[in-house]
Amino acid sequence: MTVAVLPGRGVIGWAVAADHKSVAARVAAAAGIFMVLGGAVSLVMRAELAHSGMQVTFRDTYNELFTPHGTTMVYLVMVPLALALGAYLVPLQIGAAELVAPRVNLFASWLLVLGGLSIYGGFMTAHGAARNGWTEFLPLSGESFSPGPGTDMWVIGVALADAAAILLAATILLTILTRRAPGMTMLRLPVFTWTVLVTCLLTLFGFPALEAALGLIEAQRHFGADIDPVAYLHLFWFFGHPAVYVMFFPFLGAVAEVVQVFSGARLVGYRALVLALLGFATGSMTVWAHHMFTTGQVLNEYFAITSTSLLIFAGVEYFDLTATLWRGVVRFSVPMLFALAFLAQFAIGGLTGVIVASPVLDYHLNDSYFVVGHFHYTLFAGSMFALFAGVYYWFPKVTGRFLSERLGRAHFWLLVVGTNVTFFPMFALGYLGMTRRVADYPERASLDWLNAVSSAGAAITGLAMLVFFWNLAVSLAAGRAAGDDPWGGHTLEWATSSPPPRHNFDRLPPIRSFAPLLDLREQRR
Amino acid sequence: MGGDGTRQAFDALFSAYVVVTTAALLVIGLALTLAVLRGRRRGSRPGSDPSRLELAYVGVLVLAATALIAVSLVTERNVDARSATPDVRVAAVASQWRWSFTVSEAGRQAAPAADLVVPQGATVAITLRSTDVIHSMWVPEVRFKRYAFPDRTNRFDLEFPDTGSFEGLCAQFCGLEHDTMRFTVHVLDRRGFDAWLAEHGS
Repeated sequence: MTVAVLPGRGVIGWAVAADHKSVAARVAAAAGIFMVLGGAVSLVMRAELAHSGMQVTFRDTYNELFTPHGTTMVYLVMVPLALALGAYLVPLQIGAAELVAPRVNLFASWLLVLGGLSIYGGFMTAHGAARNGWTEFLPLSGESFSPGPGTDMWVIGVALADAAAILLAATILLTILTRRAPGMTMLRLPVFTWTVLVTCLLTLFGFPALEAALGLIEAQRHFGADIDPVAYLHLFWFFGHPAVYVMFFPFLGAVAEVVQVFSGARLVGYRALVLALLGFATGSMTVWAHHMFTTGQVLNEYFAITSTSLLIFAGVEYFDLTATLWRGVVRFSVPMLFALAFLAQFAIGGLTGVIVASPVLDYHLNDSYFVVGHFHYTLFAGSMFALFAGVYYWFPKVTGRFLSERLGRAHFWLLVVGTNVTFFPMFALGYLGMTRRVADYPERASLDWLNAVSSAGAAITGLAMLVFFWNLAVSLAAGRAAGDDPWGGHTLEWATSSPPPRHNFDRLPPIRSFAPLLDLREQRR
Repeated sequence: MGGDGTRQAFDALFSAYVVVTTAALLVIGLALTLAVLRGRRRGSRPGSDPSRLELAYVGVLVLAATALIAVSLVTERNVDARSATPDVRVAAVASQWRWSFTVSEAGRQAAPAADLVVPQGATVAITLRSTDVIHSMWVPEVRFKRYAFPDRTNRFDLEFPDTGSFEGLCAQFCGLEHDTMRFTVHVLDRRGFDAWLAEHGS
């Protein structure tokens, strides 16, 4: 029996293919399925929260819903999708034939699937699935407060998904460092590849801390170890804060590519942007305990300084992308719509992040719906929109077909309305005193109507996602043929066929900048 | 807590932050809109990067971050300060899924109760701990919360500027009945509090 580095035939051939495009497709497909599960769960939660009182679920069930929602979206959807984008596109963008260590990537893709199965398998155990949130703080996740194998299966599943991310990040990073085509110097890497590079660094530095934290949970549960809850908090957030940037940088990179191509302009401030990314990544390793401002156990001042300083790096990114738009002529295709909405909406997520980076403000807002609104603006209104910009942009490269522009526009506008109607009221809810992770809240007019609005928004968001998956299905089956370079791309992936051949390139154009195809077009002019 | 109380401290700082972040959001929105519209009217024009402008802009960002950090840390120093001579002391204990408050003043101590009774305008020194998992004591009225740990004690001062009954809750998820773990803060005027302590105290 041979492990197929070449994509094989049939389901089994696909399942054991180790080439980077098959690995990425498999990870993305798994993440897509998990996204449907995690999203469906959130709709049940919003149904329960639409009005005060318990109507749809029981308390126990509700806790078994928000836990898989956060767990799925972080460990099984956004982190894997970030790395899957990198695994697919980085070799193409740097002119490489393959990722290093293909069998390691094959292994990682299955670790992720097994991790997801273990987490959801918890539902079939006697005490039910894990139910303490995606953070599983000790001592609540310990043996006496959370008996039964559901929590253990959660720990094992998250450990596997975390390991999958570490392995993929390692091979992608090594590929960038060792497999660049002749002429592709580090300062000619496309911006997307740079964002993946810093993502890999953050994964390699931050994610092992999660394995350690999970080890503490198991040490408590099975060996009765007496674990300091604050030590767990530190380990968890030392992973947890870099993780939010892992779920951000590659999607920012996708937006940067879309902004360049759909404004037909060379990126403004390439070096500044790269420097800002490196500074951002470095800084993001120093901010973890801003999740612990209200614990009374950390030096808040230090973490307020580091956290607030991140706005400088984010500001540079906004400057460079806005200046690129300013330089070019904008085409409003669907990828660009999502990219522009990302820029506007992520600003809300980022700026509310500046607010909660102030300890005294966090004393009121921490663990409230204000924070829920904040991180959904970064992760959903931000990263998910950027992901969709990337999906509509690169789908023709991956499949040779366009996604439907008409359905794409419907998807876009429904999602803009749904997202903002769902998440904006949460800022007010948190300010008014609504705690996160609650199945119910006091019957009060303000809380009731804001929650009703938010739940209505969730329904619209769900509809938008249905339109997207419908678009995916019909376009995969019978989308319009796209050709090799339908958008006028700047980077090497558009210099090969769609979908790319097994070894990606028959020949490479000369590489003299971070936008080699734009160079060629400008030469010809 | 020195000076004006946690609510005033939060409200002043929050107003400043809302003004700054809203202004930043408007600038971003305006810049994006102009950038998109301008190119559509004038066409693409390649040119050199505006490095000087970008450097000046980074200078503005550094100043803005510094100002926000400075005002935050000054406010925090006030809010985190603890009085050496508080008027009232409270031992607060969180457990799944109830609260217990023991209020004492000048040698008189009330029996532990599920709700918190304090005098208006006084400095209330609270020691907070948990008997089981991590909880978090949140009183939205005074814009303040703090974790309760099973193995260590958190100490902080609060001040309640208005009389009335206010809701308190557990902000950190603590198991099945987390959302029901609520309490009421009864803020009485000085006479009312003295009468209450005389009736419930020992």
